[in-house]
Amino acid sequence: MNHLPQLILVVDDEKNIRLLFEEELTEVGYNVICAENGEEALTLFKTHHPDLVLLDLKMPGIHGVTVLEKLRETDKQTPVFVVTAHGAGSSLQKSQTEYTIREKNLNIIDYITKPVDLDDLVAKVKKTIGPPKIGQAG
Amino acid sequence: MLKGISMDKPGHKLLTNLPCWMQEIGRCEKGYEGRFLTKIEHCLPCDVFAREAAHQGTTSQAFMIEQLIGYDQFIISEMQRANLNLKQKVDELSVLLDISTLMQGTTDLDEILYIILSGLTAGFAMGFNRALLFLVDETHKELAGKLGVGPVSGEEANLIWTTMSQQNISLSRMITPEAIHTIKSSKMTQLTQQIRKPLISETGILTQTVIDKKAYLITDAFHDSRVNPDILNLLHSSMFATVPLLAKDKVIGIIYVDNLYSHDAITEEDMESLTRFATLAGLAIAETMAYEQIEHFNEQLEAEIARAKNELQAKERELAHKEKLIALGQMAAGVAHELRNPMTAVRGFAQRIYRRLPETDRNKVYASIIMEEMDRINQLIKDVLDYARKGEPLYELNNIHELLEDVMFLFKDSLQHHPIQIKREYASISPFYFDIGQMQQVFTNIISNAIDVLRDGGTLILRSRLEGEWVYIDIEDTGPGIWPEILNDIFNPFFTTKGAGTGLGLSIADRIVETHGGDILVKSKVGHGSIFTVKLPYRLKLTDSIAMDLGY
Repeated sequence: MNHLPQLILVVDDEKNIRLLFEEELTEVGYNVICAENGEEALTLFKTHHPDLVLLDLKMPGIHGVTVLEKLRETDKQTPVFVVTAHGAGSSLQKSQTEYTIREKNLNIIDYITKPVDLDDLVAKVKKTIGPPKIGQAG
Repeated sequence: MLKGISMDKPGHKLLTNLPCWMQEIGRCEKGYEGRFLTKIEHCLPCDVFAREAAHQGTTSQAFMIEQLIGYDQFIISEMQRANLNLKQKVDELSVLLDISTLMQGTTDLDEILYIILSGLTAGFAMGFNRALLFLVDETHKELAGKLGVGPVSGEEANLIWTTMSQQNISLSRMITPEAIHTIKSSKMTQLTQQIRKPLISETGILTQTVIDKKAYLITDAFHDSRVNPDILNLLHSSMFATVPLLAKDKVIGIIYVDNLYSHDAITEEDMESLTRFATLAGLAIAETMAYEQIEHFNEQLEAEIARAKNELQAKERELAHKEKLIALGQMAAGVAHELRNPMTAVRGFAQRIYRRLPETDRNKVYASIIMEEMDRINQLIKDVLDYARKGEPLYELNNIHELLEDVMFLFKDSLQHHPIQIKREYASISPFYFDIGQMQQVFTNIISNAIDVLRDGGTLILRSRLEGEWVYIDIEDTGPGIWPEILNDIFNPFFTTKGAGTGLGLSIADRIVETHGGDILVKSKVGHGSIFTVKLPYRLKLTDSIAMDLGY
């Protein structure tokens, strides 16, 4: 049993957003690592086995959906939150990307729509992976 | 043909004075034949003639002189008669020429018909008491009364004849727009127009005239089986004539004439004149009708072209307008989307600042204002994105009333702050196919407007009904209503009467309902309120075309 705080992988090409999520989630008590593109994200995922991934969809290089597909080739379980600015219009409307994700059975847990309310984000994270475990030094 | 002139026939009297000549066979006892002068040549030396003269108490010579005096009178009468006939012919022909000239001078059917009837009834022309004109209606296969000229009573007839004889009226002076108007609305015309006959021979003399292409002279209408009782009831004349109006062997109508008031008989000669006249009239009518048809056709064509042009222009304008809006929307959507990343950072860090500051710090208020304003910007972006989205509906079976209640739940906070009474009048409607997300947006936009206008209180009514293949949902408010001047604009994008709106709400709603194959109808009365009716197809199963569009 691992008693370290859960590890969250934040994938976003925007430096300030990575910083925002990292600071917020670290402050709450989680461990956070960041990737600024899809390739880096896949590498970090393999090496660090995070408990949760916050994945931006629209990034230069590999698109978020492709990242998700590749990730699901080896791992079906790790929860993923898709973070998107695409979430157009009212909450019940579904974007084309969302349908693709659903149809391909990519098993994402939730959608986080930009601009993000930090309280919402933290609540969803806690609900999915539980409150941060008290970390042990080292 | 002047009426009332009868001729003495002195020749007949003369022959009765010659007993030795048998009047019936025109032959003398001695077998001489020939005309009167030949007879005289043989009679003077004839012993039979001498015996006849003696029998009369006179001599052959004296008897002959007596005969010659009678003959003289006979010659004079014969010449007078010939002269009069000739004059009548000339009169008739000049009237025909007049009428023909007048008819050529116009292309107006009413005017032509009026000239024809005037020619038939004017005293100096054909002089009938009454004349009625009927035209063949090809569409309805019937003979229809068009125009009638003549007095409707004996008193009126007398008045007209007196006036006419006092004034020297010419035919051309009788033809004025006022006169035509008077005739068109006259009692005689009204009477004529009551007569409509289907074109089969069983219907009587009028249609028989058309079918047989023949003129008829009826001398005893009350005992003539060819005359329909209804015609007798309407026209009362025992003697009348009907003539077909022919144009190139085709009957285009008929003329009816009688002398109801003067009781003058219609003669064979009258019939001949009438036939000649009808030929002329028929040609004139046919020509005018063809002209009018072309005119009418041209007018229709012009109107059609003008309408099509207008329609095209309106469509083009609408299309250009739509294209402009779509391009604008797409551009706005692109920009809006890109705005969300920096907004996330701004809002997020403002939130973090907010959390870190104590309640007493004024900066906490500022941070909260930054967050609120970011949310407001986000709402604007949402609207623009919604508008720019093409948004094919995702059809699923949904319950419309549950949706309405979900929407009302969203407004529970604002409803608590306003004294608004909510009434629900729901019909029983089974779930049907519609896009629940899109419809939520439609009703959110409409209900949000209704709640806005009811800030000072009032009633909001949610009503549903099912009519055939359509579901109607009324959102009714008792607000101030919408001014008619802006009613047309409310569905236009970016049109708003609110300080803080984007003006996209109703425009989006309209577009969504339209892609569902429905419509939004608005009724509004200033001072009373408005009703927004969302009309949706009551789809209980997906049609192939919709399923295909969705890629099912």
